[in-house]
Formats: sequence, structure tokens, C-alpha cells
Amino acid sequence: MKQRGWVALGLGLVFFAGPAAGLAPKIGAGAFGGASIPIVQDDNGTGPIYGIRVPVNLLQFLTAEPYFAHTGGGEAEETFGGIGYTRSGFEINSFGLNAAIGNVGLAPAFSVFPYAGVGSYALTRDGSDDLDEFGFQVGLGVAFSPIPALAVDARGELSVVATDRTSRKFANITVGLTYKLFGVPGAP
Amino acid sequence: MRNWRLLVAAAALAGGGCILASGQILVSFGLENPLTVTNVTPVNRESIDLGTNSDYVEHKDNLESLADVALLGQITNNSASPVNVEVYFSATPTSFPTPDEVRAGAKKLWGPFPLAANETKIIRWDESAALIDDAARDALTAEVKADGVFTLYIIGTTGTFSFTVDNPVLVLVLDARV
Repeated sequence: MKQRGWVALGLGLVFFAGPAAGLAPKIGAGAFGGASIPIVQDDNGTGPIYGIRVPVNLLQFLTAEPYFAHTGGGEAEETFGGIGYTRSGFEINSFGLNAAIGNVGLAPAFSVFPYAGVGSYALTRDGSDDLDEFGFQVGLGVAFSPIPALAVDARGELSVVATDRTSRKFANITVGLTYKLFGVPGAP
Repeated sequence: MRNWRLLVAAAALAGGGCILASGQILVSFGLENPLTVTNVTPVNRESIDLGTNSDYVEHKDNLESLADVALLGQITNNSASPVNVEVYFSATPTSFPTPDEVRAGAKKLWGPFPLAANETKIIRWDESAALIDDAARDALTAEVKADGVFTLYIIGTTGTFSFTVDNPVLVLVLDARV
């Protein structure tokens, strides 16, 4: 629960610190989806990942982005003694906060943006103890606006869920759509 | 002050690097095949030496815990009565002769796995992982991190029992630094 408190504190700062400092942040709301590929995990398979993000462009070069994501565990498949077996993958719910260098598509121009963040991860699957862990992610994205009120982005990220002295790692590849809510030229 | 901050940053990077260089490695260990189990004493026991498994040997020194444990295979109840199958674990080489002595002297690791009269079932991986006893898994983890030599006993819960396991496999997923 302690890590969730830190994540909640970060989310609170995003929404309240900017306005309190007299800034007028650009805000969007978006959804994304893609694939989550386990890295060096023999008991977990590739599954879908989807979720929502709320990018808040506080400064020209900095965007804070709270997110929620769900990963549907893919099955691991193995054959022993001529019999095929499958092990369910982990279902993962995570929420947290990314910080991106750039506007993640909230400005009209094409942009490339590196980002990093922290999150709280809840992992569940049949026959395993539930895991509630702290994690972090780093990635690189590209974004552009086909129409003024909408941004399209594609991202690749490494997500690391810390499990005591080891970790479970995922390569996430996603595409997303962000609707520009306000503070953006062309937004309603 | 600046040096102190650099030290903290370096420690954080080192810690992060440690958890980054890790993974979940599957190790499978085949048991006697077919494995026929009856209530006739001495009961069936399987002496395990993971040191004969190259995947285990490769990762043993970097092992942190067991991420997953399961017993797999196709199991047939040779009796006209239903039976629950259980597996017990002894961290040291032992030879308990009767089911009662196994229950008294070893730790229950897995089960009960129910079989109807004359039923044949493939033990599903998810179902098997859910039948692992948490306390025994901790003891098994300690043993796997030590020398990997231990004893398994496979017995039925009824007074008389007879069942056969085809292609029995012990599956361990090592949580290890790589």
C-alpha cells in the first residue's frame, strides 16, 4: 500500500500543483492498446495491453501523464513427455504517472518524446499468489495530429515490475488516440 | 554533499541493474516413467537430484526464489474406488516405508488431486500450481537454493490405492538473476 500512496501523491501534484502555480496546462484524454511481451519469463506469454491516459502538458518541454493500464495475460505453452500444457499468464492492473520530455502530441507538430514513470502493479493468475508491487517504465514515443483536436501516438516501452530482488519485465508496444480537451489550439 | 548524492545515485542504479538482470527460468525434471503407485509397502518414493539438470546447474548460484511449482503428467486410477492423490516432500534423503509414516515425517507439498474410479486425467498446469502448499513451497525453495537433493513421496489418501502416472514431470520456475 505504501507505493500506492506515493503514486497517488504524484497524481495529486499533477492536477493541483500546476494550477496552484498559475500555469494553464494543456490537457488531453486518450486511450491506447497494443501488445505486452514478457521478457525472460518462461511461465508467461504475450498478451494484449490497453488503458487510458490523461496527458497534462505543464511546460513546453514537460508533460505529466497519469495512466491506467490492463494487461491480459498470455499463456505460456510447453510440451513435456509428448503432452502439451499451458500456463495462464498474469492479469496485470497498473496505474501510475509518466513524465515525458515533450508534448506527447498535444501540440500540432510531429514529435518524438522519451518518457519514464512509476506505477503500482497488481498481478494475478490462477495458482499463483497475488503480487502487489511497485514498478517503473521507460520508453520512446512518436506523436502527430491528423486533425487539430486529435493526436495519434505510437510507443515502445520497457516495463519493470520489482519483485523483491528480481523483477518481471515486459516490452509494451502500443498505439493511442488522444483527444485534446482544452488549452490547445484547435480544441473545442 | 555532492559526493554523498553521487553515491546514492550509484547505489540506486546498481540496485536497479540487479533486478533488471533477472528472469523466470523453467526447469523440468522427469520422474520415473510410468510411475506406478500402490499402498503396498514400502511406498513409492522419488529421489530428486536437481544437480543432474543443466538448466538448474546454470542458474543455481543466482537463484532468489521459486516463481512457480507444479507436478504434471497423465494420471490413471487403477482402482474401482475414488482416490485423492497427494505428494509429500522431505528435504533430506529419507525412506519412510508406509503412508502414515510419510504423513508424519514429511511435508505435504501437493494435493489433494481427486480421481474418480478408473478415471484418467491429465493434470493441468494451472490446477497443479494451485495445489502446491505454501509452507512446503517455502521449504522446497530453501532446498532448491541449497543442494537440490530431496525426496518426493506420492501416495493416496485412502487405505488401499493404485494409480499410474504417465510422463510425470516436476516443473519449477526459478526466479533468478541472469
